[in-house]
Amino acid sequence: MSNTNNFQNVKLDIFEGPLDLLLNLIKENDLDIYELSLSKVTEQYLEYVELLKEFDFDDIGEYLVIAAELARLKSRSLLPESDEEEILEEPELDLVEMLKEYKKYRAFSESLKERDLLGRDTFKRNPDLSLRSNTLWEVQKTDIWKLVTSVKKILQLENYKEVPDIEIEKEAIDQNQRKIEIVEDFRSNKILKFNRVFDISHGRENVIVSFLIVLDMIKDGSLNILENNNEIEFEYKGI
Amino acid sequence: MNDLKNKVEAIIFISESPVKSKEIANFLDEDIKAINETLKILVEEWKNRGNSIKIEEIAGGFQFRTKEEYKEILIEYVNKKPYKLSRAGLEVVGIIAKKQPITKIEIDKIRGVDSVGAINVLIERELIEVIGEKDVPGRPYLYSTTELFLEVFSLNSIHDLPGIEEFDDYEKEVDKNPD
Repeated sequence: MSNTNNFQNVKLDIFEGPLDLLLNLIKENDLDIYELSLSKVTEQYLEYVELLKEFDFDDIGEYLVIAAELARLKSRSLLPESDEEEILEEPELDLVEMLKEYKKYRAFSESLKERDLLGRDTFKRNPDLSLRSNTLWEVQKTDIWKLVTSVKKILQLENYKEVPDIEIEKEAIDQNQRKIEIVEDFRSNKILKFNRVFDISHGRENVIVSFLIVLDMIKDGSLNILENNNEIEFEYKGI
Repeated sequence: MNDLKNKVEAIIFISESPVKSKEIANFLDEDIKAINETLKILVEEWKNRGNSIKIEEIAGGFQFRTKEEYKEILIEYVNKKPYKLSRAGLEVVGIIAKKQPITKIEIDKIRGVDSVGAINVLIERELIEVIGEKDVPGRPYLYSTTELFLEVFSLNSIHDLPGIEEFDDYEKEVDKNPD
């Protein structure tokens, strides 16, 4: 999609990165961190990269580096063992080692959430409560890949039924208009279900635009992602 | 003894940031040992007093804070949007906490992704700071966590954090609680 993007402040840095995505896929598939596991999740990883491309993030380079390495591992796993050393050069990245190291730090950082957080679990004296003055803190709980996965699912769903009424709505979606719609809906409801914000019956582009708006709102703290029986909901926190 | 205890208590009470025992000793012109002893008693007394406030050792000093049971009502009372740390931000501050002083490139290498956005947010929120430059070509900045980091995560010292090796085979428990 050629994007005249009003949401240039939505960068990929809201995501935790390609290693995080890979670890999630490995865990989802109940695998351990071995080269073989990596070739098993390669296709799923590439699907996500395709999706990120569609959202038109420009800082996708690191995801492609890992994709290339996965492809290399996969092609090596397909070769008979005896040929392996002769044909393929040494890996440029030791992906397995990188993942193991990253996983430790990710787990450590996650553990910080369990500590008593100032402004969430404990409060100190604050002479001027009208200011936030670094005394109120919160940590985002749900990782954004869960949201991406749900968006991915409904976009794939749409591929099945290429219904004609989508053809009619071909005109470009006004992103500002859509943002106003979303914010108004949140103002009157406070909590909205995923399917209400992302409605594929309004077409693919509408879903993509809505996703960029939601990411933006998550980033500026006006939306929380909640999980309710494995279903994603959004809680409006005001602007 | 009671007089000294009350003085120490009053000093901690009016202070916004954690007060170090040495500062109190210097100011009151008392032996540091006596002050430490007094602080220990005070912490214990407030802990057992059955009210909503405690004295906690934070960032190498002492600070009055509310007990966890009162968080709901206080969140409601304050009624302000908190600073929200993204998971990426948490990840970066965690890496810095463990490996400080550390350069951006070293952080990027662990995460496999550019961390500039997270670093900027963390600096702006004063959870990390530049403490120097690394003596390598390009002289990249070295980042460390701040005293505010210790306050926000209720730590007395950075060394109170568990070792990274403890997370070698940590299986992440998925947090099902809504935000």
